[in-house]
Amino acid sequence: MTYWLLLKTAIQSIRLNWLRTLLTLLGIVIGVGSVIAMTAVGQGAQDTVVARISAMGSNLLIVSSNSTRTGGVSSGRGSSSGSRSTLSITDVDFLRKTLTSSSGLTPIVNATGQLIWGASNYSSSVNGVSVDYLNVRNREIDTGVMFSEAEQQNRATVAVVGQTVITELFAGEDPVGQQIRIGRIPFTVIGTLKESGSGFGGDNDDLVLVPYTTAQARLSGNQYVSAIWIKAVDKESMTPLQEQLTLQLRTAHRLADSAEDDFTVRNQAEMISLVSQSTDTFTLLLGAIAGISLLVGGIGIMNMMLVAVTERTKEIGLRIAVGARGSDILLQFLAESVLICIMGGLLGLLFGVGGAYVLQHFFSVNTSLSTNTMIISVGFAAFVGVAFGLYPAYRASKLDPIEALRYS
Amino acid sequence: MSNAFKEAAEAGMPLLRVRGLTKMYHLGEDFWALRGVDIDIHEGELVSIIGQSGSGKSTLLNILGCLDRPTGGDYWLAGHHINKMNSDDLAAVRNQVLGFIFQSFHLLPRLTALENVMLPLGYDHLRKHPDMRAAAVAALERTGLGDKLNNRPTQMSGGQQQRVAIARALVNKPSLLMADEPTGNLDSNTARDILNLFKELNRQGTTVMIITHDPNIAANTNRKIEVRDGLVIGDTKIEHPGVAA
Repeated sequence: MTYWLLLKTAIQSIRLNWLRTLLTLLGIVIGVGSVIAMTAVGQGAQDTVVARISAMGSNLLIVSSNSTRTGGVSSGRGSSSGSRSTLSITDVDFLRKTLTSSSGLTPIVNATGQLIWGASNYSSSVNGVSVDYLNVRNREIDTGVMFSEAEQQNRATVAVVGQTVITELFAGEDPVGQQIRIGRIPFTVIGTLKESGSGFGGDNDDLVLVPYTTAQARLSGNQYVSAIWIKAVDKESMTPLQEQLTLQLRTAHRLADSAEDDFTVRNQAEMISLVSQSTDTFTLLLGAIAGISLLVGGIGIMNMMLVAVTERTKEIGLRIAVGARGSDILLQFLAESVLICIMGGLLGLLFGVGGAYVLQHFFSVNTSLSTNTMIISVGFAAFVGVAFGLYPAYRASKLDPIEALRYS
Repeated sequence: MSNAFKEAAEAGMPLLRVRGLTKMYHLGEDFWALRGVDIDIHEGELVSIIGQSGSGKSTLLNILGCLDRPTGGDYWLAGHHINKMNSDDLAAVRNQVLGFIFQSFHLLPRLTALENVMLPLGYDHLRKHPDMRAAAVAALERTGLGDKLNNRPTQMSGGQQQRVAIARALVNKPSLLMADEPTGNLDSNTARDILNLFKELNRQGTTVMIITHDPNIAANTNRKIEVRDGLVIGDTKIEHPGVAA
């Protein structure tokens, strides 16, 4: 039998029982649809997290201090200003001199402080950073200027503020040139940062940048830094840079060979892959749960095909009598179940894509549709058609024509 | 395809030959439905095989129709040694050498007359049928249904349905038309028409074999083979077959 004839016969049979077929098909539709929608949700979550990490800047190494020894990785933003840090400004100067393949480096001196401007006040995170900060974190100045090398050296009381601070403290007014106080110390706002959006671990626009020298001298009152951010020249140089910097810091801290590092170096690429891995697992889990419904749909198909074979016993007998081989009968029923499953798969594709769209636009769930998942899930639906259609088709092909023709 | 099917007919062999054909069923105890049947049927004949129910005639029909295999004996059809063939070859024999006609027509109700007649062509793995439709139309015209191509079985009378079934049997140009009680479900007038159609087809050169329990039908053929208790008990040539009444 030609493929065209097979397809035609399958369509004829499906049309004969279209309501039953449609209901059975629903299982496949729901299965494929949920696989596509669920993996889109999982993928969307991953994309969001990866985008947030990437927004911190690219090719970053983050050195933070192990001020207290806790199991596992220390928390995202380095230690709070209260605890004693093992990293100091000498480490920063040392690394700046010794690291050969970094393209930028900034200490982070954390000093959460109350901001006061006229009658309004607002609590934001005040970071003492170096001039390199913009380069390291991929940030840009919106209005005004970044503080200069000279201002950094002179411990100038100048500040650059983020967009959230503008809204909250200055009520949207242009802050450049304004005098504010951080704690008791007066600062002049000389620039604003362009918006960066919500980042990994908080609002990237809710911050005030001051020279780290000023932060240490006027705000924190000590030589410690909570973290050092280092930008590698490119992705490839990250690992060598990380090794070099670990070695340098160990030397600087005079750690014995047996001693553990008193600092942690985190590699942004590793963080992304770590997060990706865990969200991959999440996506897989969602997909697997949805895949189960596809299997259940397959059982429905098998059930229907078994009924169809019984109903059409006489037809099968007649077809054998006029010269159909067992393989012709097998293919005919297989074509029917595969066709049903592919139809279900395509409908499911429609529902899955539609579902993802609805989630994205009406429930603000970030989704990301993957062509691969679509192809795989529709392909899997076709496979379900083969897998669950095989047994009924085999039964049909093994019917005894004499018995079958007598069947009523 | 095994060689058995491709071989040319053996020289001097009649169209159909069975020798010592036996069939045993296990029904609690062994039951011999056929106990050594010998038959020769030559090309161009119009033969009836007549027997009462339980005579073994249905068993014989199933074996001759390549739907069942004998327990013992040999069967040649159009030069093919049937009892040596595998199931795919048997399917090809049913498709191309035999044309089957059933008492209850066995048309597929959801297909039109034309589609029903085209059905065997789709299962022909050996020959190409560039224009299945034309072949089916020609077969339907031979049985006088050229104007009912797109009717479905439910829209046709019993006689018309049997004509569709005969067209379906003819469409692959078989060497032997095998009809199992072809008039059993028809009123006598229609039965006469169908019998006359068989005679007409036979005059045009088709070999026809009619299996029946009805002596009146057998009397309309050229030769009557009588079966009883699994044996051929009579083989008579009918010199002046009656005109179907």
